Amino acid sequence: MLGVIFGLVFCVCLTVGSFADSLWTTGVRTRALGYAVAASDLGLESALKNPATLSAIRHTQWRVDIFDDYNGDAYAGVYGLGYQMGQNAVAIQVPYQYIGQIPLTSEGGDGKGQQSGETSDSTFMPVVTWSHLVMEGISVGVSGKGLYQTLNQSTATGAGIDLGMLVVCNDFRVAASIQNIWSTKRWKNGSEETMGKRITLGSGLTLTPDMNLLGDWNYESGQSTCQVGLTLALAPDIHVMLGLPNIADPSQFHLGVDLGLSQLALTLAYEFHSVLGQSYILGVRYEN
Amino acid sequence: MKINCFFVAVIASFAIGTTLLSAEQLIIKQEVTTPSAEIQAATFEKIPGVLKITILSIAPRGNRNFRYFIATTAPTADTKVVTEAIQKQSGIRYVDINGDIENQSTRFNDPFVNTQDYLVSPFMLGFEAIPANEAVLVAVIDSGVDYTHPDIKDRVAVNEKDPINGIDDDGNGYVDDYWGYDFTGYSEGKGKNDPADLYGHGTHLAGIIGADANNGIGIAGINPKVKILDIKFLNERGYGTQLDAAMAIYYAIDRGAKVLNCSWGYPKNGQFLREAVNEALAKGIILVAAAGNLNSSVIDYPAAYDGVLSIGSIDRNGNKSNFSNWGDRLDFMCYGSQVYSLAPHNSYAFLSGTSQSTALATGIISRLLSYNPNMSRTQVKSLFNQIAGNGSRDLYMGYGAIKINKLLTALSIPIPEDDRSSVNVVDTPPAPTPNTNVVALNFDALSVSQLLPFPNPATSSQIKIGFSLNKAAAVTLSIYDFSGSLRKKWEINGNSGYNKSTCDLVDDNGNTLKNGTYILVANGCTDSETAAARSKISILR
Repeated sequence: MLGVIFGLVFCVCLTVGSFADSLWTTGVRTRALGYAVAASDLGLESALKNPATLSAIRHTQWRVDIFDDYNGDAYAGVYGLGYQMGQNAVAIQVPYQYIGQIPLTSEGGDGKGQQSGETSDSTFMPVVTWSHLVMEGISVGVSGKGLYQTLNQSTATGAGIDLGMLVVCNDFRVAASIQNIWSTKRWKNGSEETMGKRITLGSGLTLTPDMNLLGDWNYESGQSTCQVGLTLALAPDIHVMLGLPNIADPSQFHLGVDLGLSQLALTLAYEFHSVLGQSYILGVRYEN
Repeated sequence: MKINCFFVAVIASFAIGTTLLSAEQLIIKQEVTTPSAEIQAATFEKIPGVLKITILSIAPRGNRNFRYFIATTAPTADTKVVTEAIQKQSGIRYVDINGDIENQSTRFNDPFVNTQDYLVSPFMLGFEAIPANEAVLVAVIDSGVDYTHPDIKDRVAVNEKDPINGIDDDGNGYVDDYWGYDFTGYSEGKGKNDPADLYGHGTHLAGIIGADANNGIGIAGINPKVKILDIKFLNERGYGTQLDAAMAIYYAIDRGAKVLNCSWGYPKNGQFLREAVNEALAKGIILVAAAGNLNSSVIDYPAAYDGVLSIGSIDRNGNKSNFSNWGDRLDFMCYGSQVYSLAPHNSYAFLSGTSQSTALATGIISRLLSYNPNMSRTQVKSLFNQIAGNGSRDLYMGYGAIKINKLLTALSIPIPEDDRSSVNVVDTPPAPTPNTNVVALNFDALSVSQLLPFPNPATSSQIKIGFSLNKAAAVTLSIYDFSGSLRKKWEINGNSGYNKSTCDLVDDNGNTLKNGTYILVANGCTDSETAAARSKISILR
């Protein structure tokens, strides 16, 4: 069964593109963990990176996250709703991101740039995910994504698929996903883009009952990156998170705290980027 | 011992305030009844610790009863001991340290400064209703003025009596002072006739006061009839000395200035400076001076002198700016936060500080004098007292903020029905857009400004990046995507002024950058300083 799944994944991988470049909006806990969530049990938000992790939701999960990136350079939000039915789980999520204050410029007669106004870039990407528990400890998942982007006065539409799998064995978890399959983006002016595919291999290790370590290796467009995340339970309903989105660049780090309030949870994440500044994310989650 | 001038940032001011030069200069005032100046100079030079004596070639005000010397002390000399030794000579009136002066602007490197709104602030609304009938000569005693700037060049007062021909045609002791005069280093014999602004402060102030209005470009100053007398004494780093400042004031008096804008400060009650100020006041000249930018209770000189209008800064809400000095010598408050005005090399910039509020007050006063040339300093102060508050003096706000609508009422000038629309500023700045491209120039430290990719959005495989530097620096240009990943980086050697670089829209791994939006960062670097600016690149092929 696993062989079939991997075969499918890599066959598709060879033939399609993606639009990974377009979207950085994932979720508050994903960001707090430095995006190292391919082998996590976050449920809805990690499903945007590895659809198989949707199997982690217990019954119903709902979330709203809002983002303020790099001191106001961009704003984003995600709404998500997931539901588990036996060995299957389904979810719909709607990430939206907005980048404003983009200078509209042209070259003046003196050869210098001159600004005539401003424009914006907004992306809306509904994602539908289905995951299936193949057998005890093994899940697979698939996401179908649509995309609608408006940049200045031009629009683009696109679609794509993510595939993933997750294996859980005692305290160890391994995962693989491929994102942005079958995704070309077509612009109103007729141009068409094929995005780079992103392959992720993820792992997770429960170090102690209160501490989980996560690590992802990503490969995209000839470049690989490694991400690390750590979750520490200070109390049953209080978790702190630490993430390094690129271990080769220690000038970036992410932090987060997750506070459980019965079936509700409030999560705050903070990101520091030595050049681009700081980002803040707030998320509210309901689980039962 | 040095004095700081008022235009550097608050933090920089703290740092610089502790800086000492290796040698000191002492200003010596002596009665002329003693032996000749040359003999006396030789006597001074024999005093231990004195390296050099310079006879001040142009005695201030031509006062024949006194003469002045500049004594340069050895770096290791005890200034107090040297001063005492000089004071033992006959006929000495005083020995005063010639310290540094610092300008009075607060530097704001906040990249989201996005509006120039002082002309339509509640404090300035309707200023254009004050009729500007007569030309008024206002001396901007500062770092000079970029008299080639298209938005001020026609407002600069030139000395037709002394064209640039190598001869002192008007016999005032300053050869070819056609554009004004540069007193920087005057005490070392370095005065010259070109008061061009190498620092940017004076140009900014001149623009606030009198940038050409209704000329279809740039901004509008407060007084369309003003003539700006360009007198420079702050150097390219924004520093001057007491002696240079005083000489600049004397020069302004001689040239017939009606208002002196002094957006700088000296923390000591310098006798040489005080004499110059007193002479200006005695001539009925209105001196407007900055209170200072350290949020300190100590007002610097000349603002602290009696008779000088001391100006603090308020923000757009009418609250005291957090940097503005306060105290019992504070007179009035004027708008001084994030003021948009001229910068050298045909550019514009935001700056904040009591320097800017002082220039705004100077602009208002000059406009009043254009309306009524017979108005005296006392009348102006009385009028401001009447319109600013309840007549009582507050430690933090002085007599209060100058409000144009009350000024119009006091002058019996009808207040425009729609204040905002009536602000006849045809050339209000070109929509200073709320993004990172318009940033405050940093005249003291390295600054990268006006970072603009063009054309943006990029529709081809290349884009040009334009930016300005206030000094030469190595510049690293970087493009990041919104996940925070660095996609492309390259370096260029930037020159002072405008720079341009062209880049292929391919990342450092050879992948074409996709349609979308990226963050552009320019990092400038010299041996000792760094500065950065940020913008956004969109690609839409």
